[in-house]
Amino acid sequence: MDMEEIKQTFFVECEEQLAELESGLLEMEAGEADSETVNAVFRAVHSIKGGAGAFQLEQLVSFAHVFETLLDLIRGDELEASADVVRVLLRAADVLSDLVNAARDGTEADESVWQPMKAELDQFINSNGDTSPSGAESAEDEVPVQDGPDEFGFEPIPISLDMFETEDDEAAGEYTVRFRPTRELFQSASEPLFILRELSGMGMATIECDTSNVPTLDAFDPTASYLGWTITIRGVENKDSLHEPFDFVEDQCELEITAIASGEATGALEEVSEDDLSPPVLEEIVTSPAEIEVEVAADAEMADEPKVQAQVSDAPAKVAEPSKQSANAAPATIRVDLERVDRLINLVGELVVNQAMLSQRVVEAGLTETSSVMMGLDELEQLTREIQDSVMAIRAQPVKTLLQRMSRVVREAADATGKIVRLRTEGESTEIDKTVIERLADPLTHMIRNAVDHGLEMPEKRSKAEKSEEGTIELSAAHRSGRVVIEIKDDGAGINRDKVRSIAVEKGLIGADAQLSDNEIDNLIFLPGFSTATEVSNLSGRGVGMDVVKRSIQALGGRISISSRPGHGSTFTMSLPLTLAVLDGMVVTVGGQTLVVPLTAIVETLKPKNSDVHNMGCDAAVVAVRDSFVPLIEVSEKLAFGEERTNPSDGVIILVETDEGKQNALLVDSIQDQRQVVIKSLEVSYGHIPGVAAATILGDGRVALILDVGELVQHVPGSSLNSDQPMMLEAS
Amino acid sequence: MTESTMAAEVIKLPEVLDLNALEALHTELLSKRGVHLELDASAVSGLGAQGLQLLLSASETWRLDQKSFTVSGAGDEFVSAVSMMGVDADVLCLDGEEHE
Amino acid sequence: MNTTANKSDDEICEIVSFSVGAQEFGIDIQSVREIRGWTEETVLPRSPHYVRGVINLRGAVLPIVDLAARLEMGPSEPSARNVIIVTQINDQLVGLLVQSVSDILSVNKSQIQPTPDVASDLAKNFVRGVLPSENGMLSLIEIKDILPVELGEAA
Repeated sequence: MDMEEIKQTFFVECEEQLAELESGLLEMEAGEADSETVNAVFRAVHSIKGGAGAFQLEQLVSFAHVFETLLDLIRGDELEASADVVRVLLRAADVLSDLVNAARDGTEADESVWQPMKAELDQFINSNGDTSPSGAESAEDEVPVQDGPDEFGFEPIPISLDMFETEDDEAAGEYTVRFRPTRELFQSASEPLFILRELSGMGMATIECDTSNVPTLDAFDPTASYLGWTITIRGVENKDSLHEPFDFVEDQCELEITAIASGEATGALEEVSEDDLSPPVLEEIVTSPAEIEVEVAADAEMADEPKVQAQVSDAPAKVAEPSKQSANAAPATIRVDLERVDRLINLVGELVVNQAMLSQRVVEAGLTETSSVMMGLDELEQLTREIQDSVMAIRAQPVKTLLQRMSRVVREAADATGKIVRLRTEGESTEIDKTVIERLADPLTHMIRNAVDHGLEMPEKRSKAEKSEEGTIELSAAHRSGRVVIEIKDDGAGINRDKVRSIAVEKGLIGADAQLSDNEIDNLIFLPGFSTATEVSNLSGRGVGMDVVKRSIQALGGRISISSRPGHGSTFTMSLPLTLAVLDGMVVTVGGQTLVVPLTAIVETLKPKNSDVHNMGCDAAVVAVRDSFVPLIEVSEKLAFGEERTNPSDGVIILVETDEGKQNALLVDSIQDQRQVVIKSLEVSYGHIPGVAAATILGDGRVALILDVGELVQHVPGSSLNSDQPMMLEAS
Repeated sequence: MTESTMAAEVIKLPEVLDLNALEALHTELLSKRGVHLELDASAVSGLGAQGLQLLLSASETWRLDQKSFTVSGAGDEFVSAVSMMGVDADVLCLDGEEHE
Repeated sequence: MNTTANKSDDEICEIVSFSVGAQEFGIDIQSVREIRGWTEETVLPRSPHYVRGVINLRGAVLPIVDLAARLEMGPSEPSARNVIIVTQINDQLVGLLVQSVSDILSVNKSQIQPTPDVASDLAKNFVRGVLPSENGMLSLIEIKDILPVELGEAA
């Protein structure tokens, strides 16, 4: 590893530290912080300072030093973290973030911002009567005890942890033992039962058996080892004794013994210096050399996110702590180059296509269903699916950082507009594909700024309307029927429908006498050309309109809509696919073409009778489904696949439900199959087609289009699907 | 859900469930697939991990086949071994508790 | 062969020549990624008349433009004997359906004559120069305008 790479790593970690800092400060702001939170906040700044020192990033060091000093006072209970103080801290965190970015990009940070901030921090420190020189060059004097490692700048957090960990943790002696024998263990006539008995005699133990690997009888091999155990044991005097039951079988099993509550892996009690090459966690793993890869894989399973760099190489290896100091054992993680993950995903995608093609060819070759080849293929399909799921899971990350970023956006927007705003977030742990998260950042930022700028009223206006002066924006993310739904809800004044309508007429987007429902008016803001450039605030100065936001969301395969109640506020709802890569779908024939309907949208399929179909008006039809009538949509006609209209009784009806719960009946020629397909973006290679979400490559090598059910059913049945043309133009 | 009209076939488990016995048992179980089954464990002196995993596999296979699978006559040692190895007695339908 | 030196007139470029209908055309080899046989496309709903659809190019989705239709020479009725020239336009890959590919010519830029001032809009929009060739005349096509920019929203 060269200096550049190490520096890059430092900046990546700074990001993580900054996120921790922000999240801790927010907890303090909400009054939910405890001493641990304050410590974590301190450590975050301390780490950044340390690393910055190693790279001689002077400005960053000096600012971080003052920041850290102030935090030290707070955690030492010498200064109270009042609301005012926390607000200052939050601003300081923003400035710190800017300084980090400047250092990373090699640019100069805005002195007119950070110098005053630093002075402000100094003031708090000095008014406390503390004799801390604000000149930060002699950083070392000020920093509390665990100073030595700082110079190297690579100290993993565990060091500081040692000082703050309650001494009780070790004494409590609570451990988790993970034990999975290999077949060699049985061959050597050892018996797990006896080992478990011995172990459980050493303290208060709870034993859990992992039976997930046990296959059904046909695949069962009596000489293999399928079981694994997790033993939680308490009241053990010392950890070493836990190894004893495994003395004779160390090479014949996977064994991991970790302490609980201190969150540390074995042997991490001593200072981890630069020379400590193998992270303690690996110690346990190296019990059975042949099993190393498997163990890491097993750990990866248990891990949450890529965090730690577990490189056993020249570089000082580190044991990064889970940033939340909760009572969970440290998840073993590794940090992986995103490119490698992407390559892996592409390869897995090809694998899926290949496997489908293989299956198809085997069927065409005429082998019977029960032949061993077919059965082997079934297993292959299962395996491929599992691999795909696992690989997809690697890229999925909680939206937490994205949501947190928004709180800064809100702070800045509130400051710039003079409004008082509070951001509430929900669903931080909702996982989304990493690329989606990255591409959501801009649209979300824009929508939040919009909400503060245009949605929320000024404090005086709010109190006149008998609302609290402080406006609230609720940002939530959740998984709903196979998609991710993100909502931005404000309790502002709602959409001014008259104004929107008149602007739309003014810009020629709708006819002056067009009849629009309230909801239709609300959605006018998404039309290209709508952006109210007349209202230039220093926020929305960039002139990015909602249509650009909508396009960004669509490019991700998502949908966005708005609903609003005058006086009460507006809600933006975005629905995005869970993963950009894979989809379970029903393969159907429509007008001679093969299409794929996403399974998540399908409620059921029916074979209709002509007598169930009823016409409405001249162009529309409905079909009777049990007790209700559902709009009938002829897919071939919607997509203009040719002149022939399908006779309902000759075709099949697929009953679909949109995100909003509306049901429609799609008429197709026939259903071919149900399978998992790899999504190929059409946007990238061609462009957006209304009613089409993406494309895929089927087993026969041909391209098939994937339907966007929401778009397909959106328009007035019978009218043509014109992209971005408001429905209103056709209403008459 | 079990059809009480169909009587379960019984396999009597040997006293010692070593690898040989387990391999033979495995073969026998495969041949008995598709019928309601009862394993008579009254003669079994001890149960180890290898035996346990075979039983678990059989239990799951029978569940998927939607046929009943019970283990009867399990002695104290058998039951305590199952418990020590962290498996719920219900999973194996000890004492003739019925599957769903 | 590489482009040599200094004066742009002396520069040599390589042209892939192909036929559409009875006419001969050429494009700069630098935009060409590969050449393959024609396979049946998957139709794209509501696409311009000259976009035949998309095909699978080793796992990627490739749009196919019927060059004859694009040049208003009437739609092609392709068979396995037709050829697809896969070209790169900015970041996009586009396949051009042509009748057959003839040759790769090394052409000195000075040999390229300006487009004759004919009445056809098409000629003016797509042809950036002409060359005398073995069979008569070869029109050099400017790839960039083959796919209109707002392709995705064309209804």
